[in-house]
Amino acid sequence: MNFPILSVITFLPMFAAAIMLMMPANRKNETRAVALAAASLDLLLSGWLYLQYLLGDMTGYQFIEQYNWLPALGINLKFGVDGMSTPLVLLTGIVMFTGVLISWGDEDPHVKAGIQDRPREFFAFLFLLAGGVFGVFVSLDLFMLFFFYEIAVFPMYLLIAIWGWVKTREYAAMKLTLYLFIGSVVALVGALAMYWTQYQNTGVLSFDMIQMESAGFSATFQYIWFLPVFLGFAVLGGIWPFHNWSPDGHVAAPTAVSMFHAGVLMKLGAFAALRVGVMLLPEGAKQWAWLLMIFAAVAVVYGAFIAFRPNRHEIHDRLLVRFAYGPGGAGRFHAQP
Amino acid sequence: MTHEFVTNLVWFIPLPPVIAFALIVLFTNKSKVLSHTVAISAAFLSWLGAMIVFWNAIKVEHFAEEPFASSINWLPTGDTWLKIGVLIDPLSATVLFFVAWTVLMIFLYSVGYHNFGQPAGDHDHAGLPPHGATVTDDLGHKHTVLSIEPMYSRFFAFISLFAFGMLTLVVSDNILTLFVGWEIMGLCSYLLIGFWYGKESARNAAIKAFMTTRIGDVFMLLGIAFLYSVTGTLSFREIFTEEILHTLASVPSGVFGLSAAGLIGLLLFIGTVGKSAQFPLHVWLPDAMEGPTPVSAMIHAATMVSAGVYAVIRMFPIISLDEKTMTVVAFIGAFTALFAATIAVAQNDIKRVLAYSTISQLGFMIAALGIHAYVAAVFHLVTHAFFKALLFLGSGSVIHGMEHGVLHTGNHKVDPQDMFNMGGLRKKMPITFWTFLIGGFALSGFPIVTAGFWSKDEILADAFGHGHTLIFATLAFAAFLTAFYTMRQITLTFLGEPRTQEAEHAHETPWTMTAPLVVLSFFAVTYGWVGIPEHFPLLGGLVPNWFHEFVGSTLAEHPEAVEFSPWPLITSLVVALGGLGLGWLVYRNVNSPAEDKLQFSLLKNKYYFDEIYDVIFVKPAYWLAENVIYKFMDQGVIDGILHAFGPTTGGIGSAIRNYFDVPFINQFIGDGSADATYWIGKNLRPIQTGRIQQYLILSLILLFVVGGLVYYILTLA
Repeated sequence: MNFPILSVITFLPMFAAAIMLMMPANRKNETRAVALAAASLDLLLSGWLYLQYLLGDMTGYQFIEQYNWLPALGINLKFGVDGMSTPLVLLTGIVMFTGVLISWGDEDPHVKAGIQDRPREFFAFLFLLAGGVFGVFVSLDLFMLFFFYEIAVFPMYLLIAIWGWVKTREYAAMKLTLYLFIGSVVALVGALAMYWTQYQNTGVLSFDMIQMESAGFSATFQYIWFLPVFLGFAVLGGIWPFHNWSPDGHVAAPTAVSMFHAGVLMKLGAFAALRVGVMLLPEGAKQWAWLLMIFAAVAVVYGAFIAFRPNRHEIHDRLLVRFAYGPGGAGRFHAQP
Repeated sequence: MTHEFVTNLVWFIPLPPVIAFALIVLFTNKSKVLSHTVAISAAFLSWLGAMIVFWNAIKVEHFAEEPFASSINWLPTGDTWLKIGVLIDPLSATVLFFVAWTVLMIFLYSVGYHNFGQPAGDHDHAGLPPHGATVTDDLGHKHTVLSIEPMYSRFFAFISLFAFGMLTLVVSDNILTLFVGWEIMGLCSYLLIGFWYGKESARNAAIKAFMTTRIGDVFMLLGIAFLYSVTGTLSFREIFTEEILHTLASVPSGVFGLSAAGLIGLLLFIGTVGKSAQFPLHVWLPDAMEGPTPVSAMIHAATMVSAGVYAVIRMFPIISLDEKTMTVVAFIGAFTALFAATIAVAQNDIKRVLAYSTISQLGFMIAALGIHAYVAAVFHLVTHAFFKALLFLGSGSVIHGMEHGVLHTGNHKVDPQDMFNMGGLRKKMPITFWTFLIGGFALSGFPIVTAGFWSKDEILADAFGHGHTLIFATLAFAAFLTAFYTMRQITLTFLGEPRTQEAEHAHETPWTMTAPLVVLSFFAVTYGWVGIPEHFPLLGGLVPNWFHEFVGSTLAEHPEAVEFSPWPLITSLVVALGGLGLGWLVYRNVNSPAEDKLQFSLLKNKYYFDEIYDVIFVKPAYWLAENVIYKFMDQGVIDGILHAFGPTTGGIGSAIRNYFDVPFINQFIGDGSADATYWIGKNLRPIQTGRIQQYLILSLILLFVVGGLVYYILTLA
């Protein structure tokens, strides 16, 4: 068997998080060193993965790994990357590495982004989050995708609520967490509907997304279930009008968390919306493309206006503008199949 | 050199500056010497490549049919690819020539302008212009001298990136990479206008420039998208084929009754209106003078604003398909030419005069294109780049000399850019004076010797010859005003006697600043001689009209040279000499703004365009953003709904608790069961008395009752 690179990339941050939590709390620099070492290794591995994919024939899913977990329910740990997820894995590697560096936090008072308060816990949660993000990008099993999705969202609450900006951190963290979990629950209902319908159509109990692509979902089914699945995930992509958790979260979050938030976490939403919503329910996507384009178009203008309003204190509002492009691109993509 | 070698060389022309940018930003920014060495070497390499390419281009026979062109696949778009590529045809070779020269000269000039070799300032901060340094000489006297720019390396990094953008734009063979270069320049323009970001005026000017040009850019992008959706390609050589042009001309666009070509042309032209500061998007260019003077010379005179015109010239085969669009182009150009010239007459800041002059001259080129005078527009583009870069650098040199005077007297209230504080500088700064004079005369179209005369005359001749009388009259009047305000500027700045102590102590600038002036003034004179019309009296035909042949061959249909007519020639002689003479007569004795009869408040305040735009666009947009979108929609409606969720959920919870959980579930099942047990226990307690007799009586009673019952049931059953 080949080197299980995707599992290593995904579980390495979690492993590092576990190690860091076992280290003494006053050994701050050693903790940071472990964090940097793990982040560098992950960066190297994801870079290597990217190169391998580029140098290969660049078709279909590659580096596939599969391990049984709950075979009776058709839940398997199945990893694989394609042309969409490979760059995102590399992106996560880069953001993770730079995120560790920006949070390094020596005694210099000018380094505002540095984390000096409990770096051990901070890095552990950050890495748990990173592991979840990697997991979503490489999962080919719908159940595992949800599993990692929740892992990625949850540490965000702690990171913002503990290390965030004192004035709004509790409000922001709570708003973010509730919002994202509601979104993912809505999407989960859709995923279970797909799971069950596939069982009825083919007699196979499986969460494998590659199999689900050929499960023969009827046009009506797709029409009904596309919106919950897509929008449920797209909440994390900050789609208008379900975006308001995001500016608040950005304002409150520490710098490295903001980087993760904007750099990869929000990509996670758009990615999952594309992977599950558009790829498994393509007919539904075509039917609903008009609505998504309206949302995207509104978001662009709306976000731009908010970004240039006078006396703005929250400079992060400008990021709203960008949220629009992911889902907007999805809309355009399928408007012309 | 083979055709193939030169084609490959073209790919490398834009690269050195971007490498220099990376090197300076990442490695050499601590060392000022290394930074400017890297930047200037890169500019020199690009210049060298451009000269080799240009030399080879003019040697090739029938160059237009066999340009230096190659392209590679870049982005997959389904079945096809978006390509990037290079194309050097006669037009881009011509443009490349002046871009390479002006860029190199301005890079060199920047060394002197930013006071290289001077000590660091006493109180200088990053983000503010240098304030001067105190030095003590051998005799113990203290002097205040110019101090070096604190962000010296950063400046060279930015202008290198800018040069990359401009060269990319010129060599690209498709409108997509042209647009990429266009946007890089827009960014650099923003960064460099706001270079002294410690000044609020500079910050505002940077934002204004960026926002205003963005408006044009968005329309241009729409035009590009429309072009792509109609033709399926963005490459110039594929678009400018007869078949595709015919399609573009015949497909209706559905807007204003224009053909697809007309609408695409109009959208692309709006991009140019923004970038080249044409009416009504001209407002940003005068404010852009907040940037350092080399930036004004390079970006806001010679290259970026010229790139706007270059884009229209490039797309001329499409734009010229629809006469309606051409009419719009011609009138906007002519109107801008006159309108900006009138404002320039009443400005006192030496750079603002030049800024309005630039807007006006770009209007000349746009108007020329609008009347199909393709070659004349290109010709004026090139000559203008040379003499306007020269004038800006000259004005920078003057300001520098004046700053020297300001530091000498120590009176910092004197504005070194106000022309009324100058006067008599011809003796103090002879090189600057003579080169400025050449540039000014070229701008005014001083007959025969200057390049500006030949190019402007050609535009006027074309307008007259093709019967565009209104355009001709407008441009002629604008040319008259041009000569007038140029002479006003020269008179106020250099002639007469010094009006202030500071002007008295002005000083000639170092060689790094004067050498570029000399080189550029060489071109400001000689470049006109390559385009002398064949039928010109006496001189025509002595030197072949190389420019017309070369540039004209870019078009599929070679433009005919216009018949010679004495009227436009007489007109251009009269307006140039008349304007210059009148300017000198009026201003030779004017010593203060109060004596200047032409300072109408309407002109002084630029027809109140800034104020009007502020009321119509800026304030409402802010109001909309703040009150409607943010406060009402985002915070009110969307967050309002969200915040309603919390209390609603809580309310539902309380209701369930208070009206169902507590009264029913608790009452009957929870507390109820306990209460019942307790009640039963309490009521059974009286029989637990502990007296044997009572227990026996109870037992007997129970025995009888139960026994009776059992007997009764048994006997009955």
